[in-house]
Parts: sequence; C-alpha cells; structure tokens
Amino acid sequence: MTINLFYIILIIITCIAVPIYAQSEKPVNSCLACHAELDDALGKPAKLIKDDVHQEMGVSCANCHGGDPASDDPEIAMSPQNGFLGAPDPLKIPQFCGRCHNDPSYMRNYNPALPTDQLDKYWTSHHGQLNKKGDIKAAECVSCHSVHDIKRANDPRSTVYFANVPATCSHCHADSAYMAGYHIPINQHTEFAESVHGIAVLQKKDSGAPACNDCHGNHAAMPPGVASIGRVCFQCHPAEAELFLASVHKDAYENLGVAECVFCHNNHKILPPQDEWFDIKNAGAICLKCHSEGDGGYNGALAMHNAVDSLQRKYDEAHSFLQTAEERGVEVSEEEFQLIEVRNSLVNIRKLLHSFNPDTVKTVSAAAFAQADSVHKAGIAALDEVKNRRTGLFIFTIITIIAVTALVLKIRAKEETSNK
Amino acid sequence: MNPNGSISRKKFLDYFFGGAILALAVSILYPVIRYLVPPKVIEAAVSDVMVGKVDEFPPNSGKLFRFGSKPGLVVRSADNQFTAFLATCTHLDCTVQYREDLKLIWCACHNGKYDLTGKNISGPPPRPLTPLAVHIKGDEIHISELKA
Amino acid sequence: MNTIMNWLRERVQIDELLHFMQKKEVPVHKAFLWYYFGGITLFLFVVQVVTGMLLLLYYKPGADTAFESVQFLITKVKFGWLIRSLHSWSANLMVFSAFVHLFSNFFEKTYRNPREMTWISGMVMFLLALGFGFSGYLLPWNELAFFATKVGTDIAGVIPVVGKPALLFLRGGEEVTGATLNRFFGFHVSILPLIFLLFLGIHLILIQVQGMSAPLHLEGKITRRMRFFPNFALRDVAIWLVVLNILVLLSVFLPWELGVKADPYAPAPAGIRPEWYFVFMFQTLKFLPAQILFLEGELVGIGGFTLAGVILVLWPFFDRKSSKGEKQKLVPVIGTIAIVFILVMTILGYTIG
Repeated sequence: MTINLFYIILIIITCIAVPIYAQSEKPVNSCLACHAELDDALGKPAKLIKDDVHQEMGVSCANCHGGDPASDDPEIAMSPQNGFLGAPDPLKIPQFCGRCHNDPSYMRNYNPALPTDQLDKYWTSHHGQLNKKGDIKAAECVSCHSVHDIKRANDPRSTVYFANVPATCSHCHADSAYMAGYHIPINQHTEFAESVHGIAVLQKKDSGAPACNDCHGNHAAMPPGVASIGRVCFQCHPAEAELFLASVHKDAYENLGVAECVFCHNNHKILPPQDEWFDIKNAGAICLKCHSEGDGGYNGALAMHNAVDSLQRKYDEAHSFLQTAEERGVEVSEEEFQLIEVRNSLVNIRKLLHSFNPDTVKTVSAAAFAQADSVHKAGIAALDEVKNRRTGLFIFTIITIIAVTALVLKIRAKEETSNK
Repeated sequence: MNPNGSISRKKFLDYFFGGAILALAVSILYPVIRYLVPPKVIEAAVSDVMVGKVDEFPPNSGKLFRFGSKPGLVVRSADNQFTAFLATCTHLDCTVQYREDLKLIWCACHNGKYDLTGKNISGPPPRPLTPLAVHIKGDEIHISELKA
Repeated sequence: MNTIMNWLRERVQIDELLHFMQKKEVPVHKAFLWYYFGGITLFLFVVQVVTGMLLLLYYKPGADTAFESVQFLITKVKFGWLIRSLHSWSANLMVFSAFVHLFSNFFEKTYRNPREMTWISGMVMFLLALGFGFSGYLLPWNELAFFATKVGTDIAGVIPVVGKPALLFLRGGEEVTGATLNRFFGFHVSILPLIFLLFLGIHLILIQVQGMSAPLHLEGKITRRMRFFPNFALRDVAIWLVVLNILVLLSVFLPWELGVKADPYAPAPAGIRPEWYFVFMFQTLKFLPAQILFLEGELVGIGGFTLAGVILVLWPFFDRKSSKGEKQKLVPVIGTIAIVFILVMTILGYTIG
C-alpha cells in the first residue's frame, strides 16, 4: 500500500516537473514554432530562416516585424499593441530595413565593419528615384538580397555573392515582360556572359573581375555618365586609362559625346581586343567610324598598325625558327630568353596604343624589332653549327674510302699469295 | 727494301693499311672521347642556378636572373628574407620586377602587383607567381625548382 | 705477335682453336652476296650496344627526366646528337637487315637439316629485335612514342585470357605511365640484351661448327669455297665500314627528331602509327572488319599474325621436303606473297594513315 502511493506521487511529480523543465530549456520564439507548422506562404519564412544571417546573430522575427515572441497566443503575439507591424508595405521596404541598417550605433553592436550608408546611397540610385515616385517594380532591398534567408555577401550561396550578382540583376533586367515600358536594353547579361569580364566572373570565379555592381555601383546604381567612363575603367585599368585621358581622344570624344572606352571596347560585351580594330586598311576598322583616308588620325593609325604588325610578324618568325632549331637538337635557350623581352614589348605596345601617339609606339616597336632580329640571327648562327657536321661527315667518308680501299687491296694481296 | 732502294709493294701496302686503320680508329675514337667528357653544365634541365653572394643583395632589393630559358626574380626583403619566383607575370607573361619604393613585386605592363609571398594582390594577374626554392650554401645563393 | 701466341700456347689450346676456326668455309656461288646480311645485322647490333652504352651515361629514365635528358644529350653533350642518331638509325637498319637475312635464308632453305636450331635461334633473335625496337622507341618519352606505345599495348590487351595480364605486365599498370617507362628501360638495357646474347652465342657457335650452308638447288654443285677467316671476314669488315659510313651520313642529313614531350592528358595527335616495321600489321588490323563470324576482327588479325609467327619459328619442322633434299615449291610462293603483303601494307599504312 505505501509502495503504490510512492509510485503515484512519483508519477505526479514527473508529470509536472518535466514540462516545466523542458519549457525552461527552449528559447522562446513562438513565431517560428507556429509558422513552421504552416504549409502556405506564411510558413515559408520559418523554413528559410535557419540559413539567415540575422537569425544567426540572434536577430529574429520580432526584431523586424515586432510583436511578442514569448507568447503562444497569436492574439497577443501579433497584436499591434505589442508592436506588431506585419509584412511591410513593399514601397516602404528600404525604410523598413533602414531602421537598423542606417543606424551606425546600432550596427556597431553586431558588425562594426559593415557600412551603414546603403539607404542614403539608395535614394541617389535610379531604383531609389523610381521608388520615391511610387513605382512598385523598382528594385528595393529584398529584390537583390532576398528575404528571410539573407546571407553574407561573401557567402557563395548569397544572391549578392560576386559571381551571383549578374544573375540577380538579370532577374529583372533580362525579363522583357517585366522591363516593358522602361525603354532600356535587356541584353546586358547575354552580352556580359560573352565578355572577358563575364567569363572571368561566371566561369573562372575570379573575384578580381567586375560584375554589374563594380561599374554601376550597387546601392547607388546608375550607369556612369559618358564623360566618367574613362575614370571608372581607370580603377582596374590605370595604365591604359591614364594614357587615354592624356591623349587627343579624351577631349575629342567628350565634345562628340562619344562614350570613351566603350566606343572601341563596348560596355557589356567586352571581348579580347584584336589588332584588326585599328588595321585602318581593313574596312572593318573601328577608326574608320570617324577618320578617313588622308587625315591625321588615319595616318597615325596606319603608322601604329604597321609598327605592331611588323613586330608581331618578326616575333612569330623568330619564335618558330627557334622552335624548329630546338627540335633539330640545337641549343637555343639563351636566344629564347632574349625573345621574352620582345614578347614583353608586344604586350607593352598594345597598351601604349591608348596614347594614340604614333611616335611613342614606333620608338618602342623599333627597339623590340631590332632585338627580335638579333635573336633570329643568333638562331641562324646556332643552326650553322649543323654545317660543321657536314664537314665532319666529309672527312669521315674520305677516311672510310681510304680504309675500305686498303682493305680491298689487302684481301687481293692475300688471295694472290694464297693462289700462287 | 728492294735493291733499287724503293719500298717493296707489300711493305707499302702494309703501311697504307696500317695508316688507314689508324685514321679510322682516330675518327671513331675522337667523337667518343669528346662525348665522354662531361659538358660544363653538368646536369640536364636547369636545376640549380647560383645568383650571387649574400652580400650582393642589400635588404629591400630584388634582382632578375636567367633560369633556364625563363626569367627569375630573387628578392631580399627589408627584414632579410630571401624569396625567389619565376618572373613571368601570370596575366600576359610580361617580366615582373621588384619595386623598392612600393616594397612589392610589380608588373610594368598593366600595373599588376604581387606581395613578397608571390600572391597576386592587385590588378589583372589571376594567379600568384610560381615560387622557386632558395638555398643558401655558405655565402652563395642557389635557386632551384621547388619540389612539391 | 709471336711472343703473345707463345705465351698463350703455354696456357690454353690456342692452336687447336685457330685450326678449328680456319675450317669454316663459305661456298662461292651466284647468291653469295646474301651471305653478308648476317654479318651486317651482327655489326649493327654491335653498334647498338656501343652507342647504347654511351647513351646510358647521360640518359635519365623517368617520366620527369627522360625527355629532358635526351634534349640535354643532343644539345649540350659534344657529339651527343651523333651518338643518338646513330643509335636510332642503326636500330632501323638492323631490323631491315634482319628482315633481309630472314627472307634470304628462307628462300635458300638453309633451315633444313642439320641447321634447324640455327633457324630457330635466329627467329628468336628476330622477335627479340622487334622487342628492342618497341621498348627503345618509348625511352625518349616524346608524344609520338607515348601514343604509339599506348596503341601497341592496347592491341596486346585484346588477346583473350592472357591479354589483360600481358597488358598489365607490359605497362606496369593499367595505363602507360612512368612505370611503363621504367619497365621498358629495364627490358631494353638489360633483360633483352642478355637473352639476345644467349641466342646469339648459340647461333654463332652453330654456324662455326656446322659451316655456312649452300642453297638447296646448288648442293653438290659447289666448286669453290672461301675460307671464312681471314678472307670472308675481311670482306665483312669492308662492308661494315661502308655501312658505318651510311649510318653517319643518315645521322648528319636526317638527324633523328626529338619532338615534344609526352603529355598523358593531351589528346592523341592525328596519324599515330608504330615504327615502320610494325606498320604492316597495324594496317592489316585497321582493314579487318569489326566482326568476323563470331570473333572480333582485331582478334582474328592478332591471332593470324601470332599463328604465322609460330609457324615461321617452327618452319624447319613444317618443311620436311627440304630436309630430305627435295624440291619445295611452296617456299618461294609463300615467301613472295609474304614480301609483297608486307610491302603493300606498309605503303598503305603510310599513304592512307
């Protein structure tokens, strides 16, 4: 009888104690607990949030949407009295996110290195200006960063990871139905993907190459003005840009309203530059768009192209000659080393073209040409060594003839005596 | 000798034969002996280049040298570390150089920059420089291929 | 000279040996010139051994070092280009000379009683020579050799039952790698030479003991015989000097190319074919249809060649008529067909391929 009572009391204590104990261990977030049970659109955020950087930092549903996550009762948890805001007005999302992200002293508690100027920049961007006018289609924070599963920009899964940026922008900008009415092209991504930058970013995952935001800005996105293109490209291509900005073309292009670097190199579809572009004798040359036969620019282009072309040919000739010599067994490593200087010059010259100064180009080209020529001659001299072989053969043949003759005479002599 | 003083035909033949065989032997042995003497560069494929003595490299200096048929760069940093690389820029193969003012390795062609570990830190180069092994034997600096 | 002879006489039976050697005679007749080819093959083998030993002083076996060491050899070592080209040309001329020697003996039916063992040891040496060629070809580790070896060992792998083990044995693994190079080097410089020397010794001793044979149709009609030492031997030496000169001529005007280093991951270049002495077999296999009755075409080809090889080695036992001294019309017929077949297939191999 006492033992049965003991067991009953034990069970009662357990039934009370365990739930209390379990309850005290669980973090209080009723939002997730309830919304995770839902299958529709209301349940989706709860499922996504486990990957979210805010959730990781302990900034959860109520920090953005307000309300009381401690309460199980939806009436209390989601009551406006408790600060519940619900889903924000799509047009007001920048301000919604800006409550924290535009507050440096708040952000300092989480990531002091993160900038807090995004909102101010956004208002200067084209997206921001459209948003102010009430255009709900214009991009705001969520359009690019996603929502509820936001990841750090250096996370390869993030929508704003550098290699994913082109796809993120194209989500709207390549959609002809979505972009109808805005009167801007929708082929940027197609063109970009074919370009050297696109291949570097999308295929080689080279973070040194630019994605959309590097040239256009991200929060302050706006295409650079015609006169500032040179300086934007300058950020990565200082050598060429410096030469260009000091050249005659800078002012000429500005007066004509021509988009500096883009005029020859294109903006999105930037392909490896070809010597044919300034081969002014060729009908497809870019220079012919402004210059015609006889004018200063035409003659300048002609001089530059001749300089580069003749040097390239000389280099190719010397290089293939050395390769043949090496395959024949002639030692030419010293000559190959000297040819490296010529190769460097070729790269350098194509950069110097941006000065649009034929004299500079011709000077460098002439020096390199002389070097390639001397390498070629040295290779020929090395191959002459082979001539010595023929002399050796000649001598050996003579000796062999003498030896065979002597042998034949010896045989004859022996056989004469043995016959006698 | 014959009575009239000339060498007999048989003897002539013998000398002729002997001489011919001797000439033949020399023409075969000469190349073989030259072949057997080791050439100045003893081993195949440049495996070791002596670039100079330690004193010839002040701190914060770099020097280009020939490594086989490729250019090499040896750098002595301000804190006396020696490093060496193939001086071929990983962008478009120009020859890089050491910049004492910038205290890093620089490519004149398109302004590519590498730190003293050879890592590409700025500009177009997509990859670091190929490192070479540095061995200091006594007071001589020897550069060789880096064995993985 | 006499003092040396006396010194030797006191110690070994040098006179008996000289007397024995002087007995060897060479029958003189219209087909006399063919007798030189055995000696030429032997001379070329000696050239191979000597140049091979010299090459060994600089060659470094191994996928990382082989090509570079040959490049070093032909560019930096004095007369390295000569030693290497001599070795490559002599190899080819030796195989050619061996073919001629083989066919001339076949047509003259010299394999008949009592010279069956001479024939067999010679056939073994012929097959070893082909092995020398196949293994040596890979040693510079260049692109052409790499793929030729791949194709050649692939063919070996087609043989049923023993094919796969044979392929693994030859390649030292599943693919052609540095391990294959290692093996081929071992075969080429030690294993094959020692086995070859054994059979060469047997071959030469047999000829010394049994004397040179005369063609079957001339037996009994030989009027003149020449002493081998010194008469024929001196003639041999004269011919050898001419052959040596030809080798040097070829080395100077047609030096053996090195090509580019082998890259196992690169795709095979177009027009891969083995050395010329394998081309006729290679081309035959290419011509065979994929399926013959119930067997794979390639298998029929390999089987056919293997069978032909076995019959050829044991030919003395197939041609009993010749041993009895009777006319055997089959021999010139088979021989002519074989020569024509080899020539045509080799030419096609180079023109079609």
